[in-house]
Formats: sequence, C-alpha cells, structure tokens
Amino acid sequence: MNTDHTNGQLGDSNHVTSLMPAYLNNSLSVHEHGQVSVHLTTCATCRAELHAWQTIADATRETFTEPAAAPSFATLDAVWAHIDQTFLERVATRLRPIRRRAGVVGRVALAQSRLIPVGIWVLSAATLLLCFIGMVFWHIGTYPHSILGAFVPLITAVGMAFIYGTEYDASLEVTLSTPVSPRVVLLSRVVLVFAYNFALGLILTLALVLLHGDAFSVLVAYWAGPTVLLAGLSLLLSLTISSLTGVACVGALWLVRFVASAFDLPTRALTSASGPFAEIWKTSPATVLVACALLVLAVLYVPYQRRLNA
Amino acid sequence: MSQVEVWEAQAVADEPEDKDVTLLARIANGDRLALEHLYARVRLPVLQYLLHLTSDRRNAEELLQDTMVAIWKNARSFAGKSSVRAWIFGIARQRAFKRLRRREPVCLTLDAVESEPSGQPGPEAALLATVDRKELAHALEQLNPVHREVLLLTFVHQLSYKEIAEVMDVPIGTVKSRLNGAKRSLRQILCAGDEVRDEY
Repeated sequence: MNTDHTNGQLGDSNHVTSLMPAYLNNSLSVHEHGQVSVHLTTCATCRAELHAWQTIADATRETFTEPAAAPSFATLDAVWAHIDQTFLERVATRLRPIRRRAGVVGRVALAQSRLIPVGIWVLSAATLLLCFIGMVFWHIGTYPHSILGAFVPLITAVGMAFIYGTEYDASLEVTLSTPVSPRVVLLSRVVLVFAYNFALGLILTLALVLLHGDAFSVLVAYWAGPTVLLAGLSLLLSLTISSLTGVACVGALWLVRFVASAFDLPTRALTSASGPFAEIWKTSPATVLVACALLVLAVLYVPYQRRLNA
Repeated sequence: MSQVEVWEAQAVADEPEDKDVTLLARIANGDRLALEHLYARVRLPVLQYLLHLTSDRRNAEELLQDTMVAIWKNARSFAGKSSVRAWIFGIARQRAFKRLRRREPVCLTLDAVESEPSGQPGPEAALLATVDRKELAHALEQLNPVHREVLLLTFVHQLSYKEIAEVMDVPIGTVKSRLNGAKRSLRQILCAGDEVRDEY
C-alpha cells in the first residue's frame, strides 16, 4: 500500500487519532507506524481511540466481507465480446460524420432539383428522343455513334450553361441567402444535370445496342469523353462570362465537328487524329482530366461570381 | 482447476503492485492474455466493492465487465500516480454511479460541515468500547452510503488514504473527515438506539 499523509508530521502534536484507521490497515510507512506505536505506549487516550477504531474495523470486515462467489467465467467472454463489439462501434462512430454530411448534401441536391430551370430537363429529354426517333425511322442510324457523339455532348453542355446564375434563375438569390455554400449549390446542380443527361445517353445507347447489336462500351466511348469536356467548358464560360457565351463556344466547336463529319469537307484536317481538336471528341484520360480541371476552376470561382448585372 | 484459477493462485504469490503495473503496461500494448491475468487478480475484490455499491449481484457482474472493458480501453492513460488497484476501483466506482444514475449521495454536502479530524479523541471511543457487536453491525448498515464506503475501502480493501482519495475523487483531507464523520454517525445511531430502548 502506498503511504501518504506523512509530511513528517503525525497528526496533532498531542494525539494521532486521524492516523488510527491507516495504522490499523497497515498503510502507514514503517517510520510512521513506528512513531504511532511509540505514541500509543504512552497515551491512554489514543489507545482508547485505537480500540474504538479496531472495533469499527472488525465490525466492518464482519459485516461487509460477504463470501462473494467468484464471478462466472462467462464474464470474461462477455468482456471480449464487448471489446470487439466496441471496435465495430468505433468504426461506425467514425463513419457517422461522413454519413451525416452525405445526408446533408443529399438533401441539398434534392432541394436543388426543384430549383433547376425545368427547360433543361425537358430540352435534354426531347432532343435525345428526337435523335432516337430519327435513328429508328429515318434510317440515319447507319452511323449511330456519330449521332450519339454529336447530340449527347451538345445537349449536356447547353444544359450546363444555364444551371447557375441570376440571369436565368430568379430564385438563386434566395438560395444563396441560406447557409448552404454556393459551391455546394453549384456542385449539386452539376451532378444532377450531368447525371440526368448521362443517364439519358446510356438509355439511348442501350436502345441502339438492342437495335443494331453494336458493342455498348464502344458506343458509350463515342460520347462520354466529349460530354464531360464540353460540359466543363460550358459551365466555366457560363459562370465567368455568360450562359450565352458558353452555349456559343460549345455550339461553334460542335458545328465544326458536325459539318466536317457530315459533309467530309476540307475542315476534316482540323479533326484529324493528330490535331488537338480531335482530342475533344475522344474519350480518354486526358479529356476527363481537363474536364475535372474545368469543374474545379468553376467551383473555385463561383463564390466570386458577380450576382447582379450592372 | 481452470486457467483463471491457476492465475489467481499465482497472483497471491507475486508482488501485487509490481505485477499489476506490468500487466497494465502489457494491456496498454494490446496483450489480451495480460487482461485475463489482471482479471484473475482483481475480479473478487472489485466484485465485492461493486456488490456493496449496487447491492445486486447481476448488476455488480455487469459493472465488473464494464470495468474490465474500460481498463482495456484506458490502460494507456494510467499515469502511475496512484496504485493500479486504486485506479481500477475508481473506474468501477465511476461505472457504478453512471449505471445506477446515482448522483453523489446527499451526504456529500456534509463534507463542508465535517471538519478535519482534530486529532483529539472523541466521545465515540468510550461508547464503541462497550457496544455489542451485533448492534454495531446493525449501525454500520444504517450508515450513510459514503461513510459506509470509506470504511469499506479502508478496512476491507485495505487502501491507503491517498488511494481512497483517488477512488472517491476527493482530497485526502476529505477522506479523513469522512472517516471521522463515519465514526461520529455510528455513535449517533448507537445513541439513538439506546434512547429508543430506554423508552421501552
């Protein structure tokens, strides 16, 4: 037992009553114990006090020292089960903030879906439906990859140009007055519109696969890369300059490509495999990287976007 | 003889505190066997203490489990300022109060009026010298839980004042004043008993 309460003193200068319990349970140091013993030989009052404490000590041991049966061995198994379970709980606890944040983002995204201009959804669906009808009924589906590669990127990029900005979204000022960051608002809208157009593209591709029997992945590769790149470009230009600039720029790129491939004009030189222009129309890591860079720039820029036109 | 009982028998022969510290260091390093050794060493006294706090065997066993889990999780935080046993008793006590949703007993407020023991012998000595053992046992059971606990830690678990202070999370002076208060309360209970008997 540790000794404590020494401080070189033995309680009161005359009596050592406060040390009696410690004296009885042998928790005094050897030196203290000796000093108390010496004092007891000469002090009848302290001997009486010791006797009183001895009575209390004996009675306490008799009364409270129940012959408790040893805890069952199942207790130890339960301890291990608890420790292992606690580890799993710890993992769950660490994931909880991430889940909570994901829940918030999910709710924000859901709210944004109602604020995005309805025309974006309708225009995309109508355009791609017309493409499908054209390919099926007018037999222009001889080159389904060209149709997909032309229209899915174009319609996605046009939609991206109008997802953010007071120019076409009167409710944006109200949205931005909430504690939700403009970046989260923008990201939510980008994800929603992009996912919507991408899903429509996949459905259209699947329909063509069923009709023509082409390889699904090959067809997707025709439009996926250009879609992400043009969408990123359109988004950045719409935020930094204006929505119409984004549409015009993407439209110009698309027109050059479309005219070149449809009429096999000399402009084909622009779209040769070696030219940088051709890279836009490919699905490659470089395309995706540039698209990601454009998205990052857009997200970084959005809080500084001028909200009111002079 | 089970493995735990073998360890328990070995534990008696070992130097208690050194062994406990070594085991705790091993537990801090994730040694499961060390926790089982420590369990074999402390399970009975800790269970007995918890039985006193809860008065219920099932609750006490569950709290013993909680205590062992807490030892496993917090072994690294043992700073060595007190004995391992006091540290474990302190954990058990905290768990018991948390589980039972018990606040510190009302008697705590008496600490303010329970002065430091003066060092002077009190009138309890004469009374206790003559009292019947059964009456004293009965009086002990009527004691305030805090007074009963401090007597239990001192005389049953043989803890020093410093260790008791650690377990109960109070200053050493409070431990002394609670011991003094326990003795005074016993006298009052015994005197009250005598008065009731005199009335009949």
